[in-house]
Amino acid sequence: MLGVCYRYTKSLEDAEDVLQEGFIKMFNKLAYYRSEGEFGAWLRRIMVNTCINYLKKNARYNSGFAFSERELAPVDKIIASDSPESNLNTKELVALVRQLPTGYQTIFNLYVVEGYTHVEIGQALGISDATSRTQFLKARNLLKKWIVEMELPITKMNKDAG
Amino acid sequence: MQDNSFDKNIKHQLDGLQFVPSQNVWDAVEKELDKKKRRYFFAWWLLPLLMITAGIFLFLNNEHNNGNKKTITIETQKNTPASFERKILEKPNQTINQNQAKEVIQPKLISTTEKQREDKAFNKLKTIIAKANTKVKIIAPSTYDENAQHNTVNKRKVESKTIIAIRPAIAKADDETKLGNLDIVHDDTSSLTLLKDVEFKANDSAAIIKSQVEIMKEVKLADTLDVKEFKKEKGKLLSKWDKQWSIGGGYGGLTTLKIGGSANDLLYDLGGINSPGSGNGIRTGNKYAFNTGIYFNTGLSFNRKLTSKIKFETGLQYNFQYINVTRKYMVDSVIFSSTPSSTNISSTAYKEVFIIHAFDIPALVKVSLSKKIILNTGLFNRIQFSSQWHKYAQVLGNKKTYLPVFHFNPEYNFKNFSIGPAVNIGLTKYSNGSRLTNIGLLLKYSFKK
Repeated sequence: MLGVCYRYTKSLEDAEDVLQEGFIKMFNKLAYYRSEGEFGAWLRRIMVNTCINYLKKNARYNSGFAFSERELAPVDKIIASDSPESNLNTKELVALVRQLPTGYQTIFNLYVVEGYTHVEIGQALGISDATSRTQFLKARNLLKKWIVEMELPITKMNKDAG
Repeated sequence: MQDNSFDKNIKHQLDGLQFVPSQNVWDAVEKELDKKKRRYFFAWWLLPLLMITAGIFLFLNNEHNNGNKKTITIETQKNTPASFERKILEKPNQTINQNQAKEVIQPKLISTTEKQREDKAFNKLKTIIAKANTKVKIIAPSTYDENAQHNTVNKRKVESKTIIAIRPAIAKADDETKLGNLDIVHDDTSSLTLLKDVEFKANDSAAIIKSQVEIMKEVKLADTLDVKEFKKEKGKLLSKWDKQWSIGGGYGGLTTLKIGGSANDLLYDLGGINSPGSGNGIRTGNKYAFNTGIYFNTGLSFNRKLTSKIKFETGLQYNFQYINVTRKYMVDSVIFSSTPSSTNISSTAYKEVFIIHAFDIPALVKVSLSKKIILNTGLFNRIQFSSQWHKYAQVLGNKKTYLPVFHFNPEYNFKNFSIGPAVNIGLTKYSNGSRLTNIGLLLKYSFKK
């Protein structure tokens, strides 16, 4: 669960703070847990909600929406890697995601990892679903650009998929 | 397709991320859960204790008051004939103020034909007064504020009558009929609860009047019924409580203004300084936010005198809050953070508006420190609801629907206005470790002097 919190925050300390709050919430809400669903999924949902509340409380995701045009420039070159054993280093990838402005980071995580729809993200963050969609696309482009620049093997995966 | 695959790969990678939290996290969780248990215990344990204490105090005080009020006073018109001596009707073993105890009889109105009816009427009156078993005052028209009387009294020629008022009255609906020619009149505008209007005829004999005075004496002797039994029967305890509606509103910031009745001098959860804090350990409480907004409140309160200088107040107040949460100047301290980064200092505006409904049940005492200075203090039991409350609570990290709030407000009174500083402190903390704290200036206007 610390991994979940880590993806949404900017420092390990923040992630631990959120984790702690999430666990306290979990213990307090244990009575509401019905054994129908998987406990892990239930706990994860609490953690994600705690992350969202934390971000809201700290009002940081607003600042994340402002980003310079240069950084948002479309990725115009894809460098292919030939190494077939290429596996993206998880920690490096997470580091990249966490370098995203908070707004991008939050929306990207919610959409890609948690599988939220843009409508759900909009409701959770108090923004329109169109904003969520735009921010997500920008986040993805930015991430791709960084990966390309670092010549990370993820580009290979893209190529293969295409 | 490319994008989907990209997303899928990223998800796969990110999902695999695993960390082991430090021991500090578990210690903090454990500590917080323990604290919560204690807090929960405290909040609910305090409330009944306060109520029981107040109840005992009221009960004892009530007994004490009743002991002093068993007097019967008869006042008179100014033109009382000298031939009638003033009589003081006094209960054995009790002292009454003799200056207040005057009796007067109007001898001009006598009717022998009415004698039986009058006797019957006064006998019934005697029974009523005996039942009251409390301070009874019989007054003549000239000593009575006619304007303050009920219409049915004014319609008649008050000057020609002797009005008997029983204070506080005890007769209920079943007594509100004619007792011979005694009319029972309900009076809202004075502190008299009931009036007994006795009209004597022009040819009534002095003997009858005198006999009625004798009956009054008997009433006095009969005034030994058990007070508690009577009260149980009549359920009149509430009559000792003053009721008051209050209405108010205000603007919250660092200074809060309220215009309203004397009932509920509460600074609401807007304005003041909120220090929600974030995180834990050394980073706790290093953020400050300013909330502003307006509020409106109305409700009914009851207060009663406990002693000559202390009043107890309770009731029910509804309040509506329009809160503007602005965190324009939010600053995280970087001094204590082990990993300062650009995200630690933020001047980002966080702005959201919340509408919250809440009920307050006050349990306050009002202590007169001097003629002009009153100290209001005690507890507000606040119940907050509406979906917006939960949203707001998320921002504050507090989802508690019940929140007891300690209130402290000394006020200086001049004419109908009063002014004074006020402080509110929540007795339960928010989940992030901070607590509701309001400080401000309270200005009140009272319509009733």
